Amino acid sequence: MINQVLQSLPYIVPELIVTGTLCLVLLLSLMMRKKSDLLVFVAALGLFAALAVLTSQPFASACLFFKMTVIDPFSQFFKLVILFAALIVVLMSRFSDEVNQIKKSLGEYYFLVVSMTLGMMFMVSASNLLMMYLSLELTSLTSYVVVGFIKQSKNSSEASLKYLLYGAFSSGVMLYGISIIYGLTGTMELSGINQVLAQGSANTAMLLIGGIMLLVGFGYKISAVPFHFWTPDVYEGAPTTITAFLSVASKAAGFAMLMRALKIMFLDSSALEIGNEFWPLIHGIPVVEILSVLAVLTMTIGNLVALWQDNVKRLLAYSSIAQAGYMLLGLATISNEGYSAVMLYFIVYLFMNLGAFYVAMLISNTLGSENIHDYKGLGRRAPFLSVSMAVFLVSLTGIPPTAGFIGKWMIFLSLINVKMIGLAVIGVLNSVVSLYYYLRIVRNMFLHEGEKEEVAIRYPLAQQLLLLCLMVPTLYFGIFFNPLIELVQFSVQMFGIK
Amino acid sequence: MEIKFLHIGILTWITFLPVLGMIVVLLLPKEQKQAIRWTSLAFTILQVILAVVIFQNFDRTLAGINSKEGMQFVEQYRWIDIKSTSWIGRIAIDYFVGIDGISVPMVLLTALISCIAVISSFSIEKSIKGYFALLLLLDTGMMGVFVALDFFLFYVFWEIMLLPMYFLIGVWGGPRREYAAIKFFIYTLLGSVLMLLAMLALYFSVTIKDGNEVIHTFNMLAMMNPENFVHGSLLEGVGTSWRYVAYIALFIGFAIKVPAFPFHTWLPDAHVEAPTAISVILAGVLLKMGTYGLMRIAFPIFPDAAIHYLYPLAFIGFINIIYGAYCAMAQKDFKKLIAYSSVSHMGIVLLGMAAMNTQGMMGAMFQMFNHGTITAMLFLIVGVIYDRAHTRGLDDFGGLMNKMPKYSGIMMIAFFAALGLPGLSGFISEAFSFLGAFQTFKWLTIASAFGIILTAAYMLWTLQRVFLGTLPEKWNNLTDINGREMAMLVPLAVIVIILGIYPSPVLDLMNSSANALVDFVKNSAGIAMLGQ
Amino acid sequence: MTFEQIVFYSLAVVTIFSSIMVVVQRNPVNSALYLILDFFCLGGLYLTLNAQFIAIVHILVYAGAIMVLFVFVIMLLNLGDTHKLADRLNMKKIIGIAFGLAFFVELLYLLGFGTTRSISQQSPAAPEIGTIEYIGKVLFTKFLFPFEVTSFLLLAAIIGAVILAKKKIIH
Repeated sequence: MINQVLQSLPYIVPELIVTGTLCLVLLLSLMMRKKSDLLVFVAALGLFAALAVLTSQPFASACLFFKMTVIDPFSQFFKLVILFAALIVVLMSRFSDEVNQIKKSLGEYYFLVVSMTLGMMFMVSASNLLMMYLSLELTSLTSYVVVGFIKQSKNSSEASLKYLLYGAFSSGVMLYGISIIYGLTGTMELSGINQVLAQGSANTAMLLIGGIMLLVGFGYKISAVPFHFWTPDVYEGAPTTITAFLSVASKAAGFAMLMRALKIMFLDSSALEIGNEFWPLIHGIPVVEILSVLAVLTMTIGNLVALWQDNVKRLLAYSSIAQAGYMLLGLATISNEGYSAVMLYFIVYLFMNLGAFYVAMLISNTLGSENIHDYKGLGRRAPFLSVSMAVFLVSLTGIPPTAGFIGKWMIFLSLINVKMIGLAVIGVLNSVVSLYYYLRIVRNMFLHEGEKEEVAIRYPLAQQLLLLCLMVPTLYFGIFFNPLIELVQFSVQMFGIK
Repeated sequence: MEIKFLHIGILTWITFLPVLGMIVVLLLPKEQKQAIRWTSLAFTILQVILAVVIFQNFDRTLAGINSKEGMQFVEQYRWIDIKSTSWIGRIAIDYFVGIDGISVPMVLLTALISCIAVISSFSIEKSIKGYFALLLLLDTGMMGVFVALDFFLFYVFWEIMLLPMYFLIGVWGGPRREYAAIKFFIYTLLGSVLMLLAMLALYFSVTIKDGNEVIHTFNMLAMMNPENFVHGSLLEGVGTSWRYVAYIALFIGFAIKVPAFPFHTWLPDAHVEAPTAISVILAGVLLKMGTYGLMRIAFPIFPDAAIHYLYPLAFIGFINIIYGAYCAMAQKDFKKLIAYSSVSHMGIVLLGMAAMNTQGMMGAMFQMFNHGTITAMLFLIVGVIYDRAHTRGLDDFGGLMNKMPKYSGIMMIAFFAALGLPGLSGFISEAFSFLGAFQTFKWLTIASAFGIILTAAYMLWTLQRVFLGTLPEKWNNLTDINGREMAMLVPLAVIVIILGIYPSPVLDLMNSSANALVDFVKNSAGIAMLGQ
Repeated sequence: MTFEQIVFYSLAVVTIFSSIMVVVQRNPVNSALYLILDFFCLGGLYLTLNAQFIAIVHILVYAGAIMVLFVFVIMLLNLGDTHKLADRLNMKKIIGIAFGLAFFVELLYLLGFGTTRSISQQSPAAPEIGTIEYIGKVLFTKFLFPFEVTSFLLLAAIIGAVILAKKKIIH
């Protein structure tokens, strides 16, 4: 027994490092309250170390801790995305006026960010419904707090409460779904469930109900319509750094869980053939239909509502809902190719979305506003910032030569490959709609003169460097996307499936 | 034929030279306005020189169209190569450029118009660093579209153009610039996403041999060979409904750029609001991308659908001609008038193409080139008068003939060329187009020819309103065109006159390709029909 | 109907009834009291599943400790006019209730429809499964990892609670 635990430990070194980091941050914040730079340094260093260990780890495929979690290229990939996002967010927080105003509880802030990261890392590697639920809760609980406690405004408290209520409700439903599935199959382990389902003895209708209830939990985490109602308020009310983190890492973790659960639970491995683009699914569960409807709803509603937003953070919130819709399109193909397209999208999304939020944060640092009308004339006042914002937004729209195009391209490629032409058409039309609201920001920055006098805004070199770190990949991967595709095609392998 | 400098082929040079220029411009300090202008001009002049080199060395006997051997100045490198996986196979995308008779006139036109646009932009004062950087980026995008032989590459260039254009109209344009810019952007993006889907469907339907492996490809030339289509794939076969759908998707993508009725509504707005140089580029080069795309991609890849939809295409051409001319006649704004005349003239291109015979195709290709030069002149002419009088109202002017003789002379040439006066280049191409179309669509062509009369009517009426009559008091201090303006107008006028008398330099370029294209489309569709 | 089933159904009915009452009651203290009843019944249900230890812990911790705190806090807060807490019946609510009912009926139907076949794999009813010894063993072997994750979850929750309690809200 103890042997298996000891054998499992080396595989979770990155998680252990993150755990150590969060303890250290907590202790430091108790002992040295005033040294906020030290906190950032420790947190960033810890995350970086975890990242370094993760990338240097040989890619292994094994299940750990009595089949509670697994390690496989798939989980490693998402851990990479999450850790990278966390690192960027920690660095962003260093520059954020919103965050730095709470001098007293900065330690707790970084503690919560790091523990959220830990929860997400567990999420992506969970292979057991119990672990999925627990790690989801770890992530959610920390995020409820971190959304609400920084700003002392009513808005942010409201956002936090709303988040909590929706979160509690959906995780309750999810738990119920888990218990139904457990009742049906007698196990909580994903591949075990798959084996039971493959025998075909389980009641399909009950399974459908359990599955949909499970989906509510996932849908909430990835803010898919109709589980998205919390998103705009929370994204607007939370500090921008946290919004950025939620929109990228939390979504990535949710998607990873959904993708794993979907594939491992419902794949009919007896009918699996090498070279077949579709996976055979266990008969009787309309996975494709459900996901397609969800995807179409998500992107269309996200895009249409985003058209009317005047608050940049809120606009980006709706945009991130729409982006989740594109990713769901990739899932709806239930093919390895669709999966790898979604994963590719996440790398790209990581850079462009974090970038957009980072610029929004820097701007609100100086202007004190997130209103789109206050962005007027920024193109002249802060040219570098504005140009990079334009790059991120164009990339979010999906126009070459930015990385966002490659992400969309792969998704549509996978759709056409399995001949889902209708979905592809809806998808591309949606990206045309999205152009309008992304360009509204660009338009205000470049096409309008500012009302006040045009004083150039200067940003410190460090802040510009971080921006450059996000912008260069957004452009570079738009032209040379070889490494990205190779990475995702390798990483799409999950434990337990060829 | 291959020409290389520093081991890099001439087409890569001519395409990416403006990007180099852009980088240099971005490195220059903002205050050095003259340096920025002259740098941009230097790079575009270099581009023109390269274009002349291409013109000199172009082998007029090779047809191109569907064979790599027929393409000239070809460069093909592996751009993206992803090793095979069990589920999707190998992804390989080439950087594949080359030109034939269809593209070479467009390459020449792009180089020329870009250079002239830069000269015309010397009068821009507002943040010129950004302006010239964007203009040069736009130049690369346009040139890239005309040289790309890989669909993916083509699409990337096609889209790269959009953003600079958006900013150039939106920042440096007229009072309603925002509306015009976003309208332009959304329309074109709408077209191009449909094109994207058609492109992806083609990708999965076509395979080529690469070494020992059989891989999917974006290679346009491979897409033209029916044998390369995978059995059981979406676009396999002949005259299937999916092929028609894909053709229509491509067609809409290109038709928006042309702009063909009913997708033309962005054009008047964009033209009216854009600064002069950008109007020149829009009318001179951008519109041709639509018809070029039809010839390069839609026709040869989907010959069956092209033949099937010839009549609708001709009909759209007819509507463009008549409707554009009527709209032009109703305009009071000089620039809007020219914009609608563009709609009308592009209709002639569509009609000529739809004829699907050598004369028609030649006429269409030549008309693309001529329209580029003539309309560029017309927009420059409007720009000249607008710079001086700050109005474009046709009724505000009168009697300019005596006040600005040189200007009026050049304007006469442009107007007469536009209305198709024999002896000027417009006549030849229009005549070819109509002659070709007459053989295929008798009545439609006769009806379309009515458009020529309308064109003559509004052109002459405009001439009369602006140049004849009495000069209003307020324009007494108008000055005649200066040296810089002469530098951009005279070369165009010379080209228009020379090609009107002696068109063979350009016709020779495209003769064999036009023949080959028509034969290819007819034969592959014909063979296909027989096989059914 | 066996004795076990009778116990199960009676406990289940009381559980459902009391949880509905928790939501419906206007007086928060009454709600809390119903919640305690609810917990007791849940504890009973655990017993029928041979989970003696969990049943006892559940009653001790939830009904005993946590709920006492709840009631205490509610009384301290002195919420006053409880009518304000419930808003009027409006269109939204009606639609919500209608959907909820529809879903509930569907669920009932499916549950009734499927019970015979679907819940075939009941947990093996070995009496030792609920003992402390067994739980301890499982907790530190098979469920070690979730157990550790839970500890972090609680740590984060505690710190979160402390922070939120310290926060001042500016209106």
